[in-house]
Amino acid sequence: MTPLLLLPGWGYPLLLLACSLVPAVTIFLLPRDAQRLRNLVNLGGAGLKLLVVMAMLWGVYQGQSYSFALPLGAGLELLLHIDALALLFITLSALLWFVTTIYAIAYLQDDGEQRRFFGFFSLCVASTVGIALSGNLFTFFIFYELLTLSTLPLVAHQGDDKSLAAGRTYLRYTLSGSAVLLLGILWLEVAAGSGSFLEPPLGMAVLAQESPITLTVIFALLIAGLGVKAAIMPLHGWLPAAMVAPAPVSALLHAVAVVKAGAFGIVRVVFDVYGIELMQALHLGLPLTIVASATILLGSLIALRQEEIKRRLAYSTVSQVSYIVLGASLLTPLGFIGCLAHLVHQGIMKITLFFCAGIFQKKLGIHRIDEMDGLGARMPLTMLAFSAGALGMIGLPPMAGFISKWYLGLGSLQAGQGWVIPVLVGSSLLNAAYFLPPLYRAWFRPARVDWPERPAGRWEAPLWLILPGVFAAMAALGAGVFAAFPVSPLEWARLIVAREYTLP
Amino acid sequence: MTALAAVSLALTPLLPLLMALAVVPPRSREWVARLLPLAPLPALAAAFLVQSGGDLLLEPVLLGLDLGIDGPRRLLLVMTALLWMAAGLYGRGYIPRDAAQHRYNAFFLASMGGNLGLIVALDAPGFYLFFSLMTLCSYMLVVFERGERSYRAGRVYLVLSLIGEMALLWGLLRAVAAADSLMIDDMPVALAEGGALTPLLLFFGFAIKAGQFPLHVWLPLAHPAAPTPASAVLSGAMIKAGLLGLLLFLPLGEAAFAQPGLLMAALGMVTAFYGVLFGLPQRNPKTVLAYSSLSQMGVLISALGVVQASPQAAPLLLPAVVFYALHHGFSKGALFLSVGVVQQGRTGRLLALSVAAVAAVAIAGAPLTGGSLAKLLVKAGVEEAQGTAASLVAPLLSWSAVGTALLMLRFLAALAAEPRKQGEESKEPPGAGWIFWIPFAGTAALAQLFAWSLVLVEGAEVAEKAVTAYGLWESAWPLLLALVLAAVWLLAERRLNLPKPDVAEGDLIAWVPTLAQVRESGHRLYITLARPLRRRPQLVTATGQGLADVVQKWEQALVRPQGLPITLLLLSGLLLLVILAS
Repeated sequence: MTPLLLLPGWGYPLLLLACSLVPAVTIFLLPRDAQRLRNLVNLGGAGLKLLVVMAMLWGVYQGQSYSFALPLGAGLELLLHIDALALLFITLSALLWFVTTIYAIAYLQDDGEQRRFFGFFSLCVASTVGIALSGNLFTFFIFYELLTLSTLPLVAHQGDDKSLAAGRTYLRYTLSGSAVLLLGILWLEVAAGSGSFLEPPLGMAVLAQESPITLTVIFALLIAGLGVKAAIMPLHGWLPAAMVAPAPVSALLHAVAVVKAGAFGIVRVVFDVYGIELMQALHLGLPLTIVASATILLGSLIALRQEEIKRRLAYSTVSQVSYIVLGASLLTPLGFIGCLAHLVHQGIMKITLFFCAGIFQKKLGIHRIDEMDGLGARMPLTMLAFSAGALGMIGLPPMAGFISKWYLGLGSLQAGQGWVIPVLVGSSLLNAAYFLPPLYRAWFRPARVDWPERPAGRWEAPLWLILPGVFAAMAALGAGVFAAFPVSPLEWARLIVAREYTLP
Repeated sequence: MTALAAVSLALTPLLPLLMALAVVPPRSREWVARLLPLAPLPALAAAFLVQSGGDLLLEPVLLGLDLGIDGPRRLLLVMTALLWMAAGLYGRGYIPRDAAQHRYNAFFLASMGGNLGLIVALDAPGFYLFFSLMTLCSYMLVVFERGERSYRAGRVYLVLSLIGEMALLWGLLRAVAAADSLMIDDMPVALAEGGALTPLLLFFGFAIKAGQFPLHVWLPLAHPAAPTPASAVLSGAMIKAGLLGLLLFLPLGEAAFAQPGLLMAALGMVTAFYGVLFGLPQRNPKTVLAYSSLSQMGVLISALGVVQASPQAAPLLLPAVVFYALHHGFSKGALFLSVGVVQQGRTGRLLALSVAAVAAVAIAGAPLTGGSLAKLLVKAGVEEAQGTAASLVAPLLSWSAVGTALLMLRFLAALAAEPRKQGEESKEPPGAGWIFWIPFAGTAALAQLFAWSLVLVEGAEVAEKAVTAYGLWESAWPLLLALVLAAVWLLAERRLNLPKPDVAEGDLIAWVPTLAQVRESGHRLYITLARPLRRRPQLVTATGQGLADVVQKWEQALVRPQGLPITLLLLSGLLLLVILAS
């Protein structure tokens, strides 16, 4: 048992959920102008959750697992379960939520609709935790939909025509995706029994014998449904549209919340619902590898043509999230390590980039790449963090992105799919082609516009805007430099694979 | 391994990197600037303290960073560390003491950390980490002086380097998977058994760094564009990273690979002569030196090709290659440093020219110099080998020495014609010249000192051979022939009033279109191609605008209300078809 909190085992999942859910409800109940109290509740919840997560990490490291089950009748069960994989995602979201909350408070200081924003913001994080905790497909779906709905007000936060249109696009995409996903889940329930993540559904093996086509169709439905949120091409259209949202939302959307929920769902379906053996028997891996590879290259190609910073970052996300799908589709231990490590690495690197892009936009009104000339001299700290994130995206050592790429490459060789490496390497070159020119502009070109004079003796931007980005950049560097350190994302991914997915 | 050895080994890459970081706080950066020349000290200490076979495993770093010094690493480490030290000291005098000097210091130190680190890294990810650290940070040295020339050089350098880096990563991943080990020592055996793709990728990656034809175009642009002390380490030390990579990874001496060996030898020889041919018309002394560097690397790579083709030559030829690289590193470093001394000095210009002349003829292999020892060693090794590769390289070696000698004479002529830098000189306090002279004369002397002491300690036969009539004549005739050729050329030029040849730096790169030109001609091509297709405009749009456009169109279509559900249905069907088909 963890020494920190003497709760029964089933209490931990609930406590984790409550850490975000209670602040969400409280924020809605608080008056609109109670800014200090709201921030306190927000940061308190985020901080408490971090502590709980740390205690959990210790417990799970020691081999504990925690479950909470609530039968709902009709064979359905609300199942919350903490295992090493869930905790990987929860740790990522808890850490980045804390950082993003600080950033968002500083970013939205003068915004009139802070209560609505932070309320849904907390709800969004609560749903993400729920997704991570889910022990079966049914529970997963509930939180998945909660996430869809709680994100909408955040995407359309600014309330102008463009934001509302983006919100509509987002809803159209995600709801259609959810419909397909639900169809898949229900079909699986009917055909093979409950889609639990703890052990493969009882009927799966039987069904695989009797009607492999049914299982194949269900798989296609599940992946297509989840693929909308994971922004697999051609289901990615909502993501670039959603970049009209405020920077903290984009940061969270791209790093932990929505796209990651889709990717995490795909990982669960591939490894827990179907399992490696069944995936191999049904030959489901290769088509997914092909789709992911195509997305990786096409996403980068389109990113190359974007002139707006946030749009370029959005297409980069489309490409990078497919690394995770690619790793899962290889069905090898090393590929899976790469997949899980990248789940975390992509999050910290991309959140760095969006934090910085938000600062550029807010402080100097910079939206486009060609406006970045001379930015390095004006905002050295922010630009340093941005550069670190960009170099990590290219996959240069010692940034975290290199570690992901290394394992994905080895995993593809292990799977006998050597052609994947040129895809990864080509994507690195494309990443270099669209991330290095902005860095060159910022560090080497003279400024084209006279920006407002920087007040003497002051930071380049409010410190609470800069620190989250700098922290995330350091984390991205640390995750790479100390990749083999016992608590690094890579080591945790290795632990998960060693524990749960050893091949026969 | 003793504690002292372990600490010095760990500090070999770490101290320069930590000092690079210490440039950030304004308070410590002055100290960094002062102590900069001492940063390679741990590397020197490690080279003497660390025994072969021992290693230092830094388990939590990267994927388990493993450091050690053995085989060709030790000598290269000593040479690299000393050269960086010399360039660091020289830079203290050369780089103007303004705000920009700290940027220079930071990236100079970081490149140094990468260069020293890649020599002592025993594991593949660690090697790759330091290799790309060096590549990227030295970009900042190339573009340090700003201005269009530097930026263009930097662009070409970065693009080719990144392509090389990625080929290297690809090759490393395949090598690691084949060897089922991260350790570099396990790779040659695994590569000897595997297919051709992995060694080819590794060769491609390292050959770019070593400036091999036709991917050499970055080198004559980038090496001279950097500030002079940085040019010295680029051309003397960092270029050897490509050579070291080939020495460590390729299955040299494992088994006979006749055709790849022959190809390597041929490519090396082409580069060796190509460098001479295109280096001769250059006017900037640093550019002449850069061409000479890639030409010399060509000689070494052709020697490696010979080993690849006939492994029995490995015991003689591999140490010879390292010896050659060592001598070339010091001498080439000294020659680059001489350019700055000649530009700067009011007094001692003649002395500087004569010291440079000694280093230059040493590279050309004049009798009794380290260069002649190196050439005799390589020649003896090649003669030991059999097969087509050896019979190709053996006669060409001496002729490449003629080329080198010509190139060196061209360099000396360009150096003598180099004007003194105006204005800057007067600001300098009297007697400040030592900060240029010690590194310059020091490296020139070290080249000879190291060469002779190594030969006397390790293999006295070459030393004896060098002083026989055969050895003296063998080293002398290429130089004499070059002198005659140069005299004939000068006479002919004066008498016949020949036009002065003019070749742009980076030769081939002048024909590589810029991005704007590519776009322009792409557009023209599109219009030309589209003309016959004009009757079918839809086909033209679909094919002409490319894949990315189609996807974006699709994206726009999906934004319409009915778009997504239909697509989803279609997609599920498509996926189903793919799955059923597979």
